[in-house]
Amino acid sequence: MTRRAEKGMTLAELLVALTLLGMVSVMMMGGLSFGVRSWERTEESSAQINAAVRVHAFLRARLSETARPDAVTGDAGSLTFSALWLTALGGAGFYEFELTRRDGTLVLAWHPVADDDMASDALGGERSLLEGVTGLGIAYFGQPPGYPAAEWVDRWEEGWSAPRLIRIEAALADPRHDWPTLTVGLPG
Amino acid sequence: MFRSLRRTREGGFTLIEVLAAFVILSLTLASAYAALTGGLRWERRAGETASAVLLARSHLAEAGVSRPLAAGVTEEMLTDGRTLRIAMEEVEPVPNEGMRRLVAWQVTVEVTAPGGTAVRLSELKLAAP
Repeated sequence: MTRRAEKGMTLAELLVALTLLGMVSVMMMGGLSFGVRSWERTEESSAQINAAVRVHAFLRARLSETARPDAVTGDAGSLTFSALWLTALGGAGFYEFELTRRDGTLVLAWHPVADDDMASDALGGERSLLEGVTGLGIAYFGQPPGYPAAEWVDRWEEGWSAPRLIRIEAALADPRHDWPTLTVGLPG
Repeated sequence: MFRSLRRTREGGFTLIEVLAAFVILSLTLASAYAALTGGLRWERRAGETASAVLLARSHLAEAGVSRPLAAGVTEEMLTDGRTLRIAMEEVEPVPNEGMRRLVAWQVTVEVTAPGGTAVRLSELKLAAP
């Protein structure tokens, strides 16, 4: 520890100090980048579950309050239904919705059920609800004509009486993402 | 000028001082790290709860329609590691002379995540006896 009369540090002391500084900064950088990574990951998965909550709430509200449960048609990959949409921007009213999967995205398209076509064009639209969807499975619980009892089927045709439940399952590309199965009871 | 700042004639810190500084630094970093992981854990738990509520509502919708109302408890392990528990119980009927009697069922759906986060939703369903 004792130094000679000259001021300053020896080369060995400088090296030790630099090594210590280097080790501390490497540890801090590692901890920092790990923290930032896990922060981003959590934020991303939380944003994804929030999106799922919104999509569930929208579809559940439209389907469970539809005035025309008998207008539901579809198969395992797409669903068409009509429902009252009171919170629609620009024009509250009765809309026809179509839910499909296109290019790995869950897409909802809508247009008003109206007599004049002008309103229909202006108020129609579509938007993507969920990204990274590798599979969509829509099932219908009800009693199609000729069936002895109600059961789950993977298509629902025009003219059949209303299904009692609709179930929407989605497979997502990212295993950390989550789409809880959506099952909605229809009125009637 | 430098010399006046130094505590000893030789100057510099002693080993003990450096170690103490390191300990204080690591304590500070550790508490910051604990706060960060705590926040992340709560955020993950919030996500699990939101997802469990959606799932439980879906199972409530099935009760009495595609899943018959019958007294008892069914428990199943889901493929994602969560546990689903559905309990159905007939509620004491209210005497209602001369009217068509309906039976009320209390349906309780409980979704438990592997971490222990649990959500329990309950609903009354009316059915013909």
